[in-house]
Amino acid sequence: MYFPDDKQFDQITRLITALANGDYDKRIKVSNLNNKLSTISVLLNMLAGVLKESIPAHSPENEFNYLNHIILLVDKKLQILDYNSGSTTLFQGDHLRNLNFILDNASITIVKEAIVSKKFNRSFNLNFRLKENLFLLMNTRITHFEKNQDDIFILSAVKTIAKDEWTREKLFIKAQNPKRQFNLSKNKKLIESLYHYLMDNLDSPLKPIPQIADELNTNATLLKRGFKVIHGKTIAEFHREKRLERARELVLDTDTKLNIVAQQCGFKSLSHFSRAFKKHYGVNPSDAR
Amino acid sequence: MNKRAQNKFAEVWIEKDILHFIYAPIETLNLPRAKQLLKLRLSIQNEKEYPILCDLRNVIQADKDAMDYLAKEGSIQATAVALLVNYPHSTSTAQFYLSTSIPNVPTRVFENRLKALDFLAKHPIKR
Repeated sequence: MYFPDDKQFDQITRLITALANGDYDKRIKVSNLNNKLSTISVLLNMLAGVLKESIPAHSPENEFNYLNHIILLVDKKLQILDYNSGSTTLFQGDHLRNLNFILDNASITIVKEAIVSKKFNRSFNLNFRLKENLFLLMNTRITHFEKNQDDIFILSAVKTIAKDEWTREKLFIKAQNPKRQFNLSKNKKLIESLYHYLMDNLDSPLKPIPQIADELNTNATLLKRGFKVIHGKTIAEFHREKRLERARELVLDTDTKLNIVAQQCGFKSLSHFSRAFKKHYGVNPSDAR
Repeated sequence: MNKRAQNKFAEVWIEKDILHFIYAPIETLNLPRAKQLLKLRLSIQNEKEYPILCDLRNVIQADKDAMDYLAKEGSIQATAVALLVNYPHSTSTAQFYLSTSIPNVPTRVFENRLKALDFLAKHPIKR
């Protein structure tokens, strides 16, 4: 199959992938309307805006965000003299030579104007070109070293990264490191089946991991490692958390007796359940009612 | 009373009790620009409500918060809005806007200027 406009097509597929992964900040740069793909790009940008506003962070994995701080040291000619490691996760390595490679034209104009007018004590919305050739608008601060004769500036911006995206990035880094190689595409289904296994068995205590691994025809190490990478917590932590969430629903939304709740959520006894509940939510289940 | 006004992003004038609003070429219509444009429009209306012929054909895209602003606050002193568009681009983006931001006044998309004026004639000026 031949696509006459591959670059634009690639941008569209990347944005769709980003949206599917809950990343609603990225955009496709559309400066003119060459073809129908431009219109599709614009509609995808608009869709990203709608999704960003309308979809709350439902899953606990998305509720916790990490910050990626971008710091660029630039000179008057907008050459990048140095950058922090956070920058390398967002930008293509060979683009980190000059701001012209990683900012759109309007943003370059803003930076130049700020430098010429020496307006450094405010933030600017700059449109950054990311690795995948998508664009991200970031609130950026330009700082000037007062005593430096060479007119060196710092551009700093912060991007919030959802936890699932962060784990994917970590996964990507690990995949690049042969010593700690982990094949996501190969093992994703396996970890998914473990997830469903755990969710289907919240009414009983967690079996030993090797036993679960046997049932899923795999090995325990792979399960433990893959689950932690994808879900950001150990199998035991996840299982306990989900059982307590289910217990909380039963405690708050039903009249089910607490010893039955404890039993239905896989706790050995009422006292064991009460202790775990209090540790997690800060109150006894009886007081929560 | 000035019946015509213009800034970097649009030109607006009143002709035969219709308010004509023509966007200049804009790559991205963002919220600050949308606010400036509402101010520009209101500056010539003398607090009357007008039917508005809004020519979107030069706009490439708009941010969600700008679209929401224009649909809600941007509907003040308007009896109705006819969005003049071109197939395929602004037709698609305008339809998207109508279905996601839902303007406060009757708003329809037209590729034909005369049909747009017919629609606006049903929503005359309120003095």
